[in-house]
Amino acid sequence: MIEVEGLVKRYGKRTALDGVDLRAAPGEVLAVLGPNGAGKTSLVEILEGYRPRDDGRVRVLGTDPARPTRAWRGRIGVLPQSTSVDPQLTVGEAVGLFSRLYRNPWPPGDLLDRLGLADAVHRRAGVLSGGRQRRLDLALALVGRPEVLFLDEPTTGFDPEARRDTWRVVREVAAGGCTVLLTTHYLEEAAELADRVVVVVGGKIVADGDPATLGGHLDASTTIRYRRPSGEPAVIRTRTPSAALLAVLREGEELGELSVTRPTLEDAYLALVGSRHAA
Amino acid sequence: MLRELCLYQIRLYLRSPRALVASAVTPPLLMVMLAAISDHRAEPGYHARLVAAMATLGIASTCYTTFAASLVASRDAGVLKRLRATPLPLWQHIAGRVAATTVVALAQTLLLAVLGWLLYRDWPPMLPSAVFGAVTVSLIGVAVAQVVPRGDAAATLLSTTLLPVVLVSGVFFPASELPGWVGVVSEASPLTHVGALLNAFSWVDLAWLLGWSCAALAFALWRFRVEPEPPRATGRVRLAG
Repeated sequence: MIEVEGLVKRYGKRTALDGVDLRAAPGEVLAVLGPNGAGKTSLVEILEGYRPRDDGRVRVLGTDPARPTRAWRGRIGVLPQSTSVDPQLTVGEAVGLFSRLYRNPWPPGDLLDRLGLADAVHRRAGVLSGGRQRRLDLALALVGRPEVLFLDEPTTGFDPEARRDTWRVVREVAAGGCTVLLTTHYLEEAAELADRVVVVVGGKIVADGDPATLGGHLDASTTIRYRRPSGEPAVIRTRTPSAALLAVLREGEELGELSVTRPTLEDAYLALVGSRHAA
Repeated sequence: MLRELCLYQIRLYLRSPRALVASAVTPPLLMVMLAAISDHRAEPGYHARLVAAMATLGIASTCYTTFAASLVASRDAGVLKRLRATPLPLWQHIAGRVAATTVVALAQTLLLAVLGWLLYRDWPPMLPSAVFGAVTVSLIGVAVAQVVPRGDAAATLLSTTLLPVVLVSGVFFPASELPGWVGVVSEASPLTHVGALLNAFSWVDLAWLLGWSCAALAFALWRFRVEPEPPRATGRVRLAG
């Protein structure tokens, strides 16, 4: 339950957010993508209640984050961009302390088990690997059973298995009705997790849609590559790949190293960001 | 919750004890040295006043320098920002940290007083009033931490502000003997009243500490920052060559 209309944020003469409109429904996973300096952090920190805005209307769970109440803070979960746990505390102490701040916390043992930290309960946060510290950060964000969860680059430093485990937990949380707002530089993560993706460039939303159709890339050309019997490479870009491939096959040529590729979310993202930067 | 936060902070102090050990060891060492070289050591009540002065120094070191530096370090590490996004009220957060620092400072004061008793058979008559001093100086530590931009500036800023205050607060020279404007500054200094309260109870000293506590708490709540000050966007210093 996130509603943003005409959000403006300025730092001196620089406009970081320029009339941003955004909505996220309960249970929806929304990924915010954009290059560094695009305004993602300003947007997320305004929604989290850390920063004031200059103009526009913002509501998170029906509350203006610029006037946060204690009860509202008990309904959101925040995973900051960098690790923020006292390194001298053990994993169990950190999660135990945070769990006592909420009315209906996730049982710490169960949470640590789900995030693969059960074996580290007596280890100090400062001696954990980067990926495990990040999982501890995630545990602290989840321990209050939030209704809106902000995840700022949640799987940075994770190995592939830990990343997939974390995606599973985020999916479970969203399936329970929690709205998840995710920023990430991993396009694969956005494609895997998000129900919807928005791309922010220069403080404006330049694309908003399903990860599979973002920027209209499903309608974009498919690329057919193969090598002719003479060894000469051939490339066909077409919006009707089946017909194009059938036409080539009818010529009776043997198609070496045949590949048919569709544009990925990354291709669409790079095209969007590149065209905006060029503009 | 206050108890949990207090225990949490004490745990952090005990697990990273270097600064605490330094602030606990310096006052007894100075006490022994000053007692050995002072011309006034034969005067009645001298050792009780010396223990009170060194206890004041210990309270200042723990509750101001060590505490404010740890708060700035927590801010730099993102811990304060993280806690601000939870339902924990700011006043409880400050109260938990101040309570923990007060407990540690009282333990150090008690150890110093016991050492004073063992060596000189004398100690300050109003030892329990150290609690007022520890709370006041801790609140001043929270307030000053809000004007420290980042951890790299903390050590310099905190030590350079503490030293002159200690010098005019009757720790090394009797406050009553300080002349002119130095005497006026001394009268306004919270440490003067921390030391005076250890020697004899006075409503005036207590009122001074209460005033300092209220001012420091109000400033801390008004200016409490959960993030370090960002570096300047452009450099103003031009290096030759």
